[in-house]
Amino acid sequence: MICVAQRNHREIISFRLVITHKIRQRQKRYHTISRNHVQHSMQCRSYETLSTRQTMQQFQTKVTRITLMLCMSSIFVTPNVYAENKSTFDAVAPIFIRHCLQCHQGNEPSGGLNLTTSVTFTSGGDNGKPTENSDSGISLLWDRISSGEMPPDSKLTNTELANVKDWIRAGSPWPERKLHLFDMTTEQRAGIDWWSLQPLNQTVIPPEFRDEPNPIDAFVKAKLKDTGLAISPAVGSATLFRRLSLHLHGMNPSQQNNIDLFDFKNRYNEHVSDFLDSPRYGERWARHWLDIARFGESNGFERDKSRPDAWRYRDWVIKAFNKNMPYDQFCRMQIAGDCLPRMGNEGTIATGFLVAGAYDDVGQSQQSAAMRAVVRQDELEDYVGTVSQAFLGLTTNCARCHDHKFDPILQSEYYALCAALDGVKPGRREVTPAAVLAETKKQVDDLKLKIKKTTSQLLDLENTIRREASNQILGNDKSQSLILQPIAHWDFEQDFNDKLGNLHGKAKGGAHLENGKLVLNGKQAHVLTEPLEQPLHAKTLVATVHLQNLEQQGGAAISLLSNSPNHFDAIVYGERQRGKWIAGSENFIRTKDVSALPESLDNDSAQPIHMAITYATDGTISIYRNGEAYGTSYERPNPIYYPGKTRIGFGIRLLPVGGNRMLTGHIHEASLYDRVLSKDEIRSLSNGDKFLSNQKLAGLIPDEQNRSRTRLRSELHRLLNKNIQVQKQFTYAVQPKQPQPTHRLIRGNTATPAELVMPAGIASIQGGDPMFELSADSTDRDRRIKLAEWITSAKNPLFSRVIVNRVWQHHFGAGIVRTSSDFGFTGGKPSHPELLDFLANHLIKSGWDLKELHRLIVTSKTWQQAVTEDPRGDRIDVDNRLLWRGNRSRLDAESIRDSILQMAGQLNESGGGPSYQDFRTFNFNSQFYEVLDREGEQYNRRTIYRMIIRSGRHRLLDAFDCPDPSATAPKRSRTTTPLQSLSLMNHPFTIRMSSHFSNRVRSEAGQRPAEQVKRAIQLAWFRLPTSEEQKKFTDFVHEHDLESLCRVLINSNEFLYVD
Amino acid sequence: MSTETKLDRRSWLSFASSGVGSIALANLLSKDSPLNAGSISPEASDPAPHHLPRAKRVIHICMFGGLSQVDSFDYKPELTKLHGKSLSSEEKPDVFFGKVGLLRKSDWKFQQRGENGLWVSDLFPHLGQVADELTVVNSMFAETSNHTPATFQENTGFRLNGFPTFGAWMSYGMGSETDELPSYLVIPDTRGLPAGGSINWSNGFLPARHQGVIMRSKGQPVDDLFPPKNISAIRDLESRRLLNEINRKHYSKRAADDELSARIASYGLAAKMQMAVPEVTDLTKESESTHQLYGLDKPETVDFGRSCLLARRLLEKGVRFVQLYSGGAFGSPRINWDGHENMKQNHGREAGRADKPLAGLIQDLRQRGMLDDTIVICTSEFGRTPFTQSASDKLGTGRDHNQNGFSIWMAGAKMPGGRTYGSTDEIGWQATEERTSWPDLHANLLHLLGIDHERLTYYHNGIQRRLTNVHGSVLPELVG
Repeated sequence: MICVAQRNHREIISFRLVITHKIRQRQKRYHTISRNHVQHSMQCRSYETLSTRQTMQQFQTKVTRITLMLCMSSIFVTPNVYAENKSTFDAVAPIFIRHCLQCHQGNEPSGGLNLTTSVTFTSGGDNGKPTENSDSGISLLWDRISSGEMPPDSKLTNTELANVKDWIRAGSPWPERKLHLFDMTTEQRAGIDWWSLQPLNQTVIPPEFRDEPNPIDAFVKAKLKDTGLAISPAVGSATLFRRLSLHLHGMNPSQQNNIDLFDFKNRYNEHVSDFLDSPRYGERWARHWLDIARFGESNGFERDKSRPDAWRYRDWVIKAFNKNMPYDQFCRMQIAGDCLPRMGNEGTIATGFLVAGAYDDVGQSQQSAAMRAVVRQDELEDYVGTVSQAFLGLTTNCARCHDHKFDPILQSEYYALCAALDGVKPGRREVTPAAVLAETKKQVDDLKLKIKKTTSQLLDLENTIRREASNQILGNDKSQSLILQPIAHWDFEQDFNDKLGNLHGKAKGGAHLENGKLVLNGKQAHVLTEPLEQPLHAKTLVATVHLQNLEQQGGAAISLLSNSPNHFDAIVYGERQRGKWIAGSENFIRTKDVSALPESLDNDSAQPIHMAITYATDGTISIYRNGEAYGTSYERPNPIYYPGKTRIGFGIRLLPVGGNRMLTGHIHEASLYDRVLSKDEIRSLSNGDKFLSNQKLAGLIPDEQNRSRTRLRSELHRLLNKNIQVQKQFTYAVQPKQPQPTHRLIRGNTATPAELVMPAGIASIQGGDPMFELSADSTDRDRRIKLAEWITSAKNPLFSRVIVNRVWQHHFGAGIVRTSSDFGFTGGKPSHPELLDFLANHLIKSGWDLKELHRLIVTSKTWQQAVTEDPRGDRIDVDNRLLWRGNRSRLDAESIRDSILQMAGQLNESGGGPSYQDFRTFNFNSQFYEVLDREGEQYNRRTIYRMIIRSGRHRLLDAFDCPDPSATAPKRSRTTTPLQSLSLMNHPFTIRMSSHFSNRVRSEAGQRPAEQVKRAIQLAWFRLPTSEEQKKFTDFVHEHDLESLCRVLINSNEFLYVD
Repeated sequence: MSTETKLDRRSWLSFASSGVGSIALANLLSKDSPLNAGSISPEASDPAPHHLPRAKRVIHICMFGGLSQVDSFDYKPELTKLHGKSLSSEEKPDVFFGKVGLLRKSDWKFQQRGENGLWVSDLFPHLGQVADELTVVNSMFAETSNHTPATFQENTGFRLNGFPTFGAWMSYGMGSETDELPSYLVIPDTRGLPAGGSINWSNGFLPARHQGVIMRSKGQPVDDLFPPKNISAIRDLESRRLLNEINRKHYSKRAADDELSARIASYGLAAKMQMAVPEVTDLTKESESTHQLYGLDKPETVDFGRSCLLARRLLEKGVRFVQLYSGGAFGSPRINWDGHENMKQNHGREAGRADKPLAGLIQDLRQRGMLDDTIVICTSEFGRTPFTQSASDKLGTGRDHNQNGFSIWMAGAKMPGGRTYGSTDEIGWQATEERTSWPDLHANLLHLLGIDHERLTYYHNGIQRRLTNVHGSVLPELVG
């Protein structure tokens, strides 16, 4: 069976058509289709075939059946009964597929004629039945094709005509088979037999070169042998060193002082390992990946809001490369990391890939739902397009409006991918590591414990002090107790001032003093003090109040008001229970109804009432009226009041002023304590006893105790002032939502939804299972997990081929397939198909080990070739597709900047963390960014750490082809322009770095120009100057200055290119 | 040889046609690199011109924010009659801010102007004087009424970021006539950049040299043109001389590499640009009457007038495409045409800045004989609603965005002027006759430039991309 399957595969390959027609004709065809919009739409309609998932399944089985059929017809001798019929139809079917089906299929075929089944064929079209007898006496079909009327854009060959004629003469036999446009590759498009969609071939090393130590060389040499070319000799050590550094680290080597170039090649493998183990490797290869991920740190579009947390994805990519994360896992996490088990925060961060592109927040907030739907479809196209180009090298998004014109991708399959990604929305997600959370909790617990301990120490001490002071003052009279000084006291005799500290009050809304009382009218009148100067946890509020109206509801005598966080504690009258006092608090959080008698003229309420409420650190709250317990104590969590944010109010429960929050009455005096007064102390206070001032107290007790008290109090304040908060971490990633049922949209128009589409993959990619078996209401989690599994399967031939080719591209300047994100019909064909599959298999077998792939490549002779010049080679293969020489590469934008920093001794190698922002930003409704040349170490990090703002592009980097981060860039263009030269000569960065460069050279080479020249050349070019250069440059330095020479070197081709 | 290589060669040929440029140099400059992305056969895009061009340069004025068609070029007497009435429509129209107030007549009187009697409102009295030069398209429609995607569409044909703008395509397709200046220049409003900034003149996926380059009409015109002052002219010159020697020496051992010599040549071209920019931006060389023609003598028109005059001088120098912004970012106070609150104030102010300089530009191009092979085009990303942006029973003073129907105008390229193309319904709400999309307009502009919009392509990510995507028709009645 295995044998049959392999054979079968090979048969298909040989069956495949060799595409000889020029692309221009393809273009022409394409344009003819689109010349006129109406015509285009009609054309589009005819593409809408096989649209439902059901037919997809049929299609899939059909694919298998055709494959089997092809296999049978070519391997086995088919029974004679069918032989004749089959052979004539087999000759005709490809002609129909190639020349006719583009128009004659689907629900609305051209001229009503559908050429896909026997039934539709025989029933004919608007102009009659194709089998009908006609003028020619053969048939209508024959008339059309023999006259050249059909097909309209190409001509049938004589053989093809003859085959059709034979078939008609044989009675147009049509076995049970449905033809489909995707059945085979034609001049116009790819079919299911397209090379890149087939399973990987188990290619073997060409026998003739089996002895090559590196299999890459064997494949390359085998291919070259046919042309009579050979691979070129290896480059010298210095160039090899520089090439290795630029390819693996994206900048000039930094270790040039320590490396023995004579020994470099002997210990080459060790050097390769060192390079791969350096964190610079991840920074380089992450940059390549971020190009594909269209990674930017702002929204783009109108407002271009920045994404301050997006860098975590960038760091994740760098780390993944450095850790050598298996490539399949790397990709799985980017598609569904937040859904997969055991991925934790890393998984969430990885999904930054999906949403790394631009986001139209204004479009999403417009009023029109219809327009918002269009914006959402554009978003989905971005997701689907990026996912399928990045991982599969397919442009599935071309099928948004109709079946793909060039690749076997149905329109419904595009929407199946949309369905798989419909739960994706961008957002800010918390990714605080569990360890950070645990650490914070531990710190909070420790602090609480310390506060408790210190508080009890202080209380013990104060009790002792009080006892001793009491003994001294009161002797043996135990009927009274001595009260220590509060932190603030207001007597309202002459003013609103705090008689002990700085919490002076200000009268507002008509509050005034009268006979040593604060008079409050219950309307606007109140007093607010200066903010607290110390934190308050345990506390006692005390006020002597004379109520002017016992029916009032909700005013407060004294209130502790905090604005951030917003809470208050107050002595409140009548708010929840008529005539009763409560401990008032926001939303009654620390409030409990009391069982006590309400105020009435029958009791002593006509007189001033002494009220006190104590709040202990453990949350115990007790209320006292005229020195007696008022209701019972209870517990509630007790908040800390912070200095600067808390004021004391009199006559007001909480702000704003007005309503039932205001008290009608007089306040005779009030105090605030930073501790819980005992019942005795309160009773004593209510009897009119005065507190003992700190000053007086100090005179009574030993210095030792005084010092301890001061120390403990300040220690407690310090602890209470500590504000431990979790440093929450966020990332810009997928913020999933429940997917909505997805419909295919006719012509991509949101106003014309067609049938429901289930999440699924692309059927024509052979090997994987594209059916996700998910329902229309399946969860986002299930959808993305299935999608990730299907994409990253080792059976998916595109997944491994595409990445191997990308890695190759960055090492050789061009991929084995030159269009690295397009393995479809319009993309390129592989120059070394066997090698591509060998490497893909190798990658899978190695456990998706990318570093191993790099190692294999950079240790090959092929990669180490010199950039030789050979007219014969140019004649045969000017583009060096066959790799008969090395390719010279120009440093890309980031490599240029990083290498200049390196050369100038200014590179700040610290990696990771928030991006450096080399711009000034301001908001004028939209966010604007003015890119500047910022000085300072933090701006001298590698360019990958620059904050990438979509509208804040950097003109020096741009000039050297740094891509627009709004679209995925699988390969950078490489241009040469006058603006580039101006920028590199005159950009403030160059000027500044020339100066740093020269300073470095001076410090390393001393003051002699000859030595300086030598060192500068060494740093820029990795070699010593020739004697001619030495003289010329030294003269130049003499005549001008070293800075100018450095500026010239930065601009030199020998610096900008590596051989 | 790749597509791009081929086009490059052509564009570099023209770029380098005077002076430094020899055929050899053009060859040297032609290759992006021997390892180009596309392995496309040269037939993939055939070189322009595809037919006899009628124009060779374009000046594009972007009235950023949304110019009201019913207050400028789309005369609607019916709207005057319905003033204060509500829109009779079965469905509530979908507008950006969702508020559909009462219909409002124009705050400006319309008059027929010029020999052909083109309707132009009093908003543009000076443009009215050159009415016979203008071709007004009254039947434009856009795909979105959201500023930035709409501006992207205006410039690139697509609603999304990341596509090349018209100017970039033109630079790619036609190159430049000068080797002293970039082929695509952008003159922003002196009050600030439009929302999205440089995204609006992106090369998209085309090579970087086709990106629009900002040239300011106030302050330093181009960045990095000269070294800072502490580097003396002689030292700069000697440095470049040494660089040239070094690079030539390096090249001598690598003579097969065209790219290396292209870089050498690019420094020569940069030097030319250093000469050309100060010269071209020096408006004092223009006569007093020219200054007056562009309104440089009046405070309200001096800013935009300078931009228009600079644009003309750039075109004279051989620049292909100059884009001029009338209007900057969104925000408060408004500095563009986005008249949500008060049309009279907003459009009155903006037109006051732009009307005279634009009329002056057309007159000037005409008297210099340049108008016949120049396209002047003035567009806005969309128009404005005929009803006000207010409660449904209120007559407000501002108008919301309208993607369904709006007006743009063109002049030059021997188009018969003083006429309109297409029309909207009786109140100017929706384009009805000869509905014209952005790709249609782009296709026609390319047509005037001798380019078949279906043949100007660039391979990117699996598709031979076109400015017009799969849309766009050349409309003979439009281009005359």
